[in-house]
Amino acid sequence: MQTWDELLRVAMLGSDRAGEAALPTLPEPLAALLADNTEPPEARLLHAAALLNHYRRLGTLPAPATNAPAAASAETLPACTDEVAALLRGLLGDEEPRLLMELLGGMAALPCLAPPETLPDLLDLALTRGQLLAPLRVVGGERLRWLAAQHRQWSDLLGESGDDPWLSGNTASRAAFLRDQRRRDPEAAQARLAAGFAQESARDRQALLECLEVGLGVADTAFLEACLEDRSQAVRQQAVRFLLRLGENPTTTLVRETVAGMVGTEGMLRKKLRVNLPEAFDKDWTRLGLREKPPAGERIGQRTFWLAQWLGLLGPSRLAALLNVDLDTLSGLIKRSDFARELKQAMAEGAEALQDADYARWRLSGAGPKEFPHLFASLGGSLPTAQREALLADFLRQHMDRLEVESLRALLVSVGSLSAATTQVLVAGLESLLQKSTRHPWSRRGLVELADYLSVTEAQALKALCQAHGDLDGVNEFWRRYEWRCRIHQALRGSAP
Amino acid sequence: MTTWTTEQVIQLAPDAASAKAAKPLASAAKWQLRETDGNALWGLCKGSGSKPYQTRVDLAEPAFKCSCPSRKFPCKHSLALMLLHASDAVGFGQNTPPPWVQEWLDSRAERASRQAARAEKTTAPDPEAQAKRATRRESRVEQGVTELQRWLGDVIREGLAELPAKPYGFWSTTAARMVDAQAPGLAGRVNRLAGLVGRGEDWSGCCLAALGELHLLTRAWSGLAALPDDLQTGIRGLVGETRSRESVLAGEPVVDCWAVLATSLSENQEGMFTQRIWLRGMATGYAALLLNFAHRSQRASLPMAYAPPRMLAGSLYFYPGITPLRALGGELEFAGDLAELPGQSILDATTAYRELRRENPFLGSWPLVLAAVAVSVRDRRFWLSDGAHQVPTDPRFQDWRLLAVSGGEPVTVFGLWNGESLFPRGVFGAGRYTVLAEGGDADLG
Repeated sequence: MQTWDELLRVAMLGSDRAGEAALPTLPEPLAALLADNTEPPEARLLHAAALLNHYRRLGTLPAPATNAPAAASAETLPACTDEVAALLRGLLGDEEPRLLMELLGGMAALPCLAPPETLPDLLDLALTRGQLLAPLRVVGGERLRWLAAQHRQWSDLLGESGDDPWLSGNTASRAAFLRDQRRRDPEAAQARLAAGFAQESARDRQALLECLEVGLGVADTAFLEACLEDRSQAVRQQAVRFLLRLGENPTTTLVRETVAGMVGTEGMLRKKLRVNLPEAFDKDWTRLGLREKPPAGERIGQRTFWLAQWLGLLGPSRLAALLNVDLDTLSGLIKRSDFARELKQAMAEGAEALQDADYARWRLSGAGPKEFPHLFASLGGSLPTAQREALLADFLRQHMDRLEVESLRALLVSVGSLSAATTQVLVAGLESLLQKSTRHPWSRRGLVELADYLSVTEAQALKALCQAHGDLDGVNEFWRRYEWRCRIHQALRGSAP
Repeated sequence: MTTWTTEQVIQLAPDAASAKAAKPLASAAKWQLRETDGNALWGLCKGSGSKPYQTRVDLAEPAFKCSCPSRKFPCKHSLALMLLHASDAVGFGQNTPPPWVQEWLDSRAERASRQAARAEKTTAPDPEAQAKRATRRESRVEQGVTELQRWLGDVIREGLAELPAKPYGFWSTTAARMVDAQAPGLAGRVNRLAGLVGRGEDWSGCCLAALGELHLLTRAWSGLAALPDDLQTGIRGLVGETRSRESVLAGEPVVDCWAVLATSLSENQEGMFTQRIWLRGMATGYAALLLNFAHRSQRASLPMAYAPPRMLAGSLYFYPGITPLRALGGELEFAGDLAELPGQSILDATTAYRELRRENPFLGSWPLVLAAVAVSVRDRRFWLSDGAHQVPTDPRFQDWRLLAVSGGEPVTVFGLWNGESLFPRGVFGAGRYTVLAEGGDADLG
């Protein structure tokens, strides 16, 4: 190849500049083919290039094989059916992450394997959509691990690069990693967080501490108590919220006893709330994340603000228990007090932060059609799924005709996926909603997304409804999405052992 | 009955936007009527007008007609009807075609028979006039070749280092003059040369090799009479001499069951589409390339039934030459999907390539099927190894599906070999053929 390099050097310079003498001599037998020296140098150079290139290509033999890396281990799971594979390929090309997530989730539950050729695209998608990772680990099988081990980004994603993602990732990826670890082994994950917690930045401490929400349990108490000494107020606030959700511990006792000194009841027949506003702000209160000064612009007195923060920490159900009244009575007491506005707001905020299920049940069961959607969005998460859905079904039965697409979508987002029974209730009242969706063209997207939350048991009723209203904007897209989901579930059912 | 999968239908879309627009319409609720007789599909699709669009699809070719005003072809309604059939064939009613479908099918059949009759009636050309035309053409090509030799000499005298600074006109003017000289093959090589400059680390080496090959081609043209007949034919083809379809179809057909292994569609700056369809004969082992051209406005004339991994039984007619590859399709019938893909060892396949190259120094990339090769990745390149030998893939090939399908186990790989590396275009593993990313055929005109 030395001759080719020399020839290339002359060609780069140009035969005029390099001079005739610079042309290299070709090896035999090529030299004999270039014996004609009457040609100008540029023609001889081109001829030599043609010969050498041809000679080189003819002479290139395949290299002997080297030791190949080990193949992927044998799979222990069965491959998915052709029907599921076809759906998966279709969804990968369709940019439909939610439907893809549903299919992958279903495949992981079976469990069965995705076709190998889909794995690179799925891994690339999981780089930007972390929620795909958990089902992908299952449906990818051994092939996924083998493949990822040979691609830096993918091996980092799976945490199998040898580099600890906990040490090398950014805040978002570390948080995702920690949540994943908490799902598998909450105590080990907490120990990992605690080990270097003090060295993290305040923003990272807050973001990572929030991950303890996954698998929160009594075993976290000691670490959370330690977090009450943190330099960051946001971290202390988060820690105290978690501690108060955990039931009896020194912090709940402290909060209950402090609030007991500030509020009580008086009177026999018509009870009143007795309020003793704190005289001064105790610096120790900052340990629980309390602030001395109310936010600028907020119309609240400083001492009332201190009280409201304490009541927010205790939450409505515990306050009712402390005063030995039920939630109805507590509501009345607050309404009649001199601090009605401030205390009502403190109760609502406290209930949401502490996920006060009793309060949520009480508040939602008495809510009117206007306030129900936003209350459901903020408090619904405190309730067990069955109760949450039963409340929603009751509400839909009574008020479906008054709802707009967006409010209904907000309600469904807080539930996740509906049961067959609730879907039936919703479908029964859907016609009026479809009519409204055309009056407000901006509702189209919301209407289409409704399909993601419905049970796939109502295909017949929905098909008839959508066919009857196929001329309305968004209805066909809604049906197409729902139909896709039906096909996904049908294919998954067909794959079940 | 010809069946089309969702993936194959998507490949028929004229662009990504049409495919995307068709998907929402591939819903039963959108169609007032959808029927089939096994050979054609038809349906009534709700549109923005008062009347539904009448959509018809002839499944065999496939061919489309729709009453919608879209200028795209096939339109989203036609694609949607096929998508719907691919996903829910049972939902289509079985019926005889209604008049608005039957009329269209009849007119297609009539047109086909008229064309066949016209082809039969074509009168034999006047040999004297033909000879005159050939002489005139050869003289023009001769002038073009002389001019190109001068241009090549200028490039080498000035040096390759000057090339990156050359304006677009330096290349386009020369290419246009070759077209004027009725040597479009040479024009194409000049254009491809322009594309090599400054691209990649070894651009100067690639340019020198391409310049050398072009020089050899012009010299071969000058001494054409002294070369063997087959090589003469090949060189005439490379320079750009066209061969009539009829003369190719008059040759000997090669009958086999042909597997469609890869297709690609590219468009140049003038809006000219080039469709490449790679086939392999299952019994003969012959490789074949069907090349079709159409301007953007007539894109619909390109055949659409050739989609991997289909098998087509019937005859191909190869263009004559020393290493025949380009072919025309004769009577071909759909014969199911590829169930197995026989191939060669790396040594046998590359040796066969070298043999071909020895006979034809202008041979570009050549299709190979490598059997029982395990895929690995090293230094940002994939390597294929059959245990005895290994070859790298083209550095531009970055489709990780190849590695995913292999999983380190032996698979069969179809690709284009340029003498140094392979550009994989498809992989057969675990009983399924996966089509890989396009590429590797830029040196094929």
